[in-house]
Amino acid sequence: MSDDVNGKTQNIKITIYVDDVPYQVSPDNNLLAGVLSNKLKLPYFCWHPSMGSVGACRQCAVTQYMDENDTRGRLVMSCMTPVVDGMRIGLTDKASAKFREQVIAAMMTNHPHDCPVCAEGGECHLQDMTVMTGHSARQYRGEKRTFTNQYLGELVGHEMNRCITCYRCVRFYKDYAGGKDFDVFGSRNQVYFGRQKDGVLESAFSGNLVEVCPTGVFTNKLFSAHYTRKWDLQSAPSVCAHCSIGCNTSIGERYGSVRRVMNRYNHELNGYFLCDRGRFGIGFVNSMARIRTIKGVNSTVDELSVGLFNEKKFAKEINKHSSESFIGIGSSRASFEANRLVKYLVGRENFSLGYTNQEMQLALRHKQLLVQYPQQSLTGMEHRVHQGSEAKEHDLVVLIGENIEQTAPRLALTIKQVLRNSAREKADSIGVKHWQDSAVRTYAGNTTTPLFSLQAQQSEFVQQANGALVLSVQQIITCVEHLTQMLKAEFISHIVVPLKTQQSNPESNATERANQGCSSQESVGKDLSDQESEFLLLLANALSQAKMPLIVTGLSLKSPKLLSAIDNLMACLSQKSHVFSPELTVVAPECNSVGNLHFLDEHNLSIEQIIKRCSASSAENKAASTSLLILEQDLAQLSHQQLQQLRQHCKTMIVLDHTKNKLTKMADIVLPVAAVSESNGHFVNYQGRLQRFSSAHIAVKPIMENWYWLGLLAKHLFVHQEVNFSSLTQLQSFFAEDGEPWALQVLTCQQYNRHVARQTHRASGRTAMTANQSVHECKTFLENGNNQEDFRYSMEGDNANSSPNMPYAWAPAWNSNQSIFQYQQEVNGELNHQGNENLLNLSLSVFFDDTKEENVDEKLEKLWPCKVFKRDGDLTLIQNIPWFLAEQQTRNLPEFILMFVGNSIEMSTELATQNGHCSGDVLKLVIDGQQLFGKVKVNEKQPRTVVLVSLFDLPMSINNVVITAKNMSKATTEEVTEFQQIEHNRKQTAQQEKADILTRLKKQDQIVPISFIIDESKADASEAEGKPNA
Amino acid sequence: MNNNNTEIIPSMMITDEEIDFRQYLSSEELSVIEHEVSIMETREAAGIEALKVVQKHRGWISDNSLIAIAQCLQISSAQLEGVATFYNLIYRQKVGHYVIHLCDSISCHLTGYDEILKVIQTYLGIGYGQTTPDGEFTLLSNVCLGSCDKSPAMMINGQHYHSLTNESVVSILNGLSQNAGENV
Repeated sequence: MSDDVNGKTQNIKITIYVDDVPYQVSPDNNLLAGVLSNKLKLPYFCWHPSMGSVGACRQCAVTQYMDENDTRGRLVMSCMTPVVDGMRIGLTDKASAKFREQVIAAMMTNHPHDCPVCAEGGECHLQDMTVMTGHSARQYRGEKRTFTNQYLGELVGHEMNRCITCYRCVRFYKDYAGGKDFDVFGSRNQVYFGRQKDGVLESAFSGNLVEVCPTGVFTNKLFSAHYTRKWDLQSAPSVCAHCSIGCNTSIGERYGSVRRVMNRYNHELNGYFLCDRGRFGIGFVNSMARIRTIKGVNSTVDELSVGLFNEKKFAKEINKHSSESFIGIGSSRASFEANRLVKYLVGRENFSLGYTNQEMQLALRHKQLLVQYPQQSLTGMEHRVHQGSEAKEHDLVVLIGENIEQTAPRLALTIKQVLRNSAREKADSIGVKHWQDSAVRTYAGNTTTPLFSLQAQQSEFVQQANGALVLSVQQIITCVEHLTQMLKAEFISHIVVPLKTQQSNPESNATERANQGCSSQESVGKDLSDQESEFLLLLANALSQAKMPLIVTGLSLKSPKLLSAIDNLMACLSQKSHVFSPELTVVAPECNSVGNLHFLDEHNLSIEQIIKRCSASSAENKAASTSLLILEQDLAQLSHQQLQQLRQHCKTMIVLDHTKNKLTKMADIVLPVAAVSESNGHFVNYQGRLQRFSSAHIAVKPIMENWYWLGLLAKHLFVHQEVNFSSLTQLQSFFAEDGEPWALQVLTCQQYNRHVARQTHRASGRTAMTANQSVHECKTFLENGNNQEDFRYSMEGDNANSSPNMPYAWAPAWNSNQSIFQYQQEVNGELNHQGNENLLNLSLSVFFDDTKEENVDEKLEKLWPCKVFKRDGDLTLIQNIPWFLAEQQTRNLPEFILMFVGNSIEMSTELATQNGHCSGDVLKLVIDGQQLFGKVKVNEKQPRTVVLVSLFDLPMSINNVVITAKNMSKATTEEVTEFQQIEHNRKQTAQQEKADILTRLKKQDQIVPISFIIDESKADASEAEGKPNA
Repeated sequence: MNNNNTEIIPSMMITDEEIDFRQYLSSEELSVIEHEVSIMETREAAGIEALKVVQKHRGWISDNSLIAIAQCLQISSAQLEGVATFYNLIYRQKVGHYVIHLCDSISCHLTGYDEILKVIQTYLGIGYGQTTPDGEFTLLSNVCLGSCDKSPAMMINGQHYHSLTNESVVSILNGLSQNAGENV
């Protein structure tokens, strides 16, 4: 929002005098922002660094003086006041201080006295501001205003009596995030923020209300249910594992269980906001489906007991498999380091990323795009870029073949801000500054930056686009190819067809142009429909008029062809002219997908090749057959047959994972690994940014970090004696010694984390916390896992802010997350400490040294053949699952399941009539032998060949697959009953699981009965002492 | 919504899709709304006028009316609810034939508002926010009617009554009750 506050842009400052002391402030922002940028204490409520000013709360009043002789001055609201050079204001003068105190006093007439039972207590901005203004006595004796609260769904709690009417919630939800189902009602002393009627909040960003609200009106329901004060949380800087954006999070833990996720400010990525999948999805680490024991290593009682691990016994058992030859399968949801280690252990000829042939091609196309087109950060997209004297911002957004609301919600939130560029520009033209939020919105009205959308499914963006088509994947590719041809013709001849003539006669023009494009493209057999031609003409015109278009695409449609078509389009756009700078953003499927592109070379085995290799060796010689080492993989995209083949032909299947899935069921050996909240490593986001995540607590043995397990396997299974790591840093140093640049990069950054305490200096119960287990003070580090090289599991150590990766945000007098401005260069700017700016250097040299572009297809097809045979009349199945279920790890979160409205199958009117389906019918869909049921939705706008499915049991990785109408049949009466039973049971189970998890966690918090301790004392005493959180 | 409203029973809630504004709103209502839309910069700007016209025809704005108008204006019902509840002359609950807005701001307070309120409450047997059982009168407070020079004041169905006394209030209400009786 505040474009020019970007630290990277010009830094011309002006001087203002606060209580006669000169300070430097940025002229592009308001007085409040300037005062706060200088770390002065000025209370505020309604202003938000990212959302600007509206002047609603009157809290930030200061006295403005005419000149140095003026002793009287006048009150101004600092958030609504622009700064001018030489400006003089008073912050400590009696008049404004009293005014601010009285504003709080007025708020307090209605605010309840419920701080002890309020989830915000201890990190409440209202508490902080009340103390800051010095309002310490209550005079009001009258009645307080009361409201009835609403049910807002499973995620966000509502307590309206606490409201101080700052309007931040509605400004975020409605204005910033574009939500439609939340508003402000009433007037005067009866102002109510909520929905029109009770119901689940529809927005994917509702969780931000918890942080945006300066007090406890909106609370995190999952956190409230199993609550700890902020000062008692042990926090660690983490990175969200639920999409490829890599938002920075702060995970809070107490008594061995994760309590919540809060936003961790990252200037380049998430800024102040997270999506709800990231915020609430963390619940998966507490799920009942977590793997907590070792399976398949000749289980003696010791190995099965929670809390214990006997390395000697494990070594003896696992060593039995050391004669087998292993293929290692990495994972795009495991850390970069773990993948590197797997590749090292098995050797590059035996390494796989767990991709099918098609996915290998896709990954290579992805890598190709990333190497050629640097990916902007979210902030980079949102803010103005200054190139020399010229300021540029995106003036056109084109979404192609990726439903970002589903796959990368946080990116969707950014795109919503990008679409406001032209509104801000319009306001700017009459001198209204970007931070004047309501003025900009009032003046610019519905002005939005042009948006075009070419998608396989409907979405919110489709509805607000200037041009939008919902097409089959093949048609999308055809359209992109046509567009490229049209642009080529245009750029060469420099003809820009005026928009008006186009609209008056779209068909003839389009056909003419389309023909030009088509002539060279014989493969494009299908003609464009009128609608498509019209759309392409509009888009081509918009592209040729734009200066800095942003094209967003992704991998979720699993079409290598689409990516290569986008590549051609970008190549064509890049040729246009020097003032034209197109940007491309590619959304990756998972949190470390881009990291794995680093390991992509022509030796990589696809799943098909693994099956081939295994079956060949098992056919040849039973004894010499191949075994599999699988790191955190579901392989959910595989067919039943492929999975069976894999299982049959491999000798030993070792799976490392944190949650039960199909693979862990069929594996011989399952090693329980730590989930993201309990482990350390790096994820590489969609841009290639290597981001460190740290453990909030240590998992209870035998759950251990993936790299630690791999280290054990290296020692005892692979007999790599040189591999002997007791810390992640040692692992990184090992690869750094080999000269791997990523390792050198991350090692430099990590030194800042040394000695920083994970707990706050106010944490209570330091030695008493685990006194039921041991009267000794807990060790602040453990013999395995992290030691002094990283953050400490203690309240002792350096302040949180001494690391660029702050475990939590806190500053004296600022207990809420709003304290972050104390550590920014200026509000909404970069952090003082910068240390997480590593970009992974991806190179394609192994592939395309001397291969010409035309031959890439051939080469890919040779390496990983994946011809898809599609007959006329075939249908494609496209995933339309809502954002909260669109990621495999969080799909089983009870709260998310309860939000799911039920399985549905959406099809065109034509297809429905042909097959006699009506809206509301229950259909049976057979995919790969699996029967799935869903309710039919008929949508007239949908292309005939596409079937949109939202089926709970269908993994997200199965997308854009071919089915026929025969796969879908009307369910029989018994099947309808079965379907209803499944839907009912799913909700019931989720309710039950929700209750069970809470019971288990609360039990875990409580004092462990003495008898239990006696039982445990049979075990190795030193083991028990080492782990404080058992 | 707030505690002044009657509680909504979930089973009675009607989802937005179940209403089609073309059928719900009368052609007269629709034509007025469309006229207002045509003279406004944006469609949503006709919100207040649309609420006014529907209230004119139906006496108040029910949940269903709200949903229908929101559909017609292509805005969310939450957004329209924000408008409807902001203005005290848009009634979101069923009101009587006569809606009494009794001014309770400072001038009226100084000139006998308390007494007037008591008289009205005794006469009608209802308190603030209530409607008489025969559905004739609803009593509401009003922050200021702009008649401070002729206080105490009240407004009934758009008509102002000034310099009220205990006697004049009774005779006004008597008159209206008789009208009401004749209307029936």
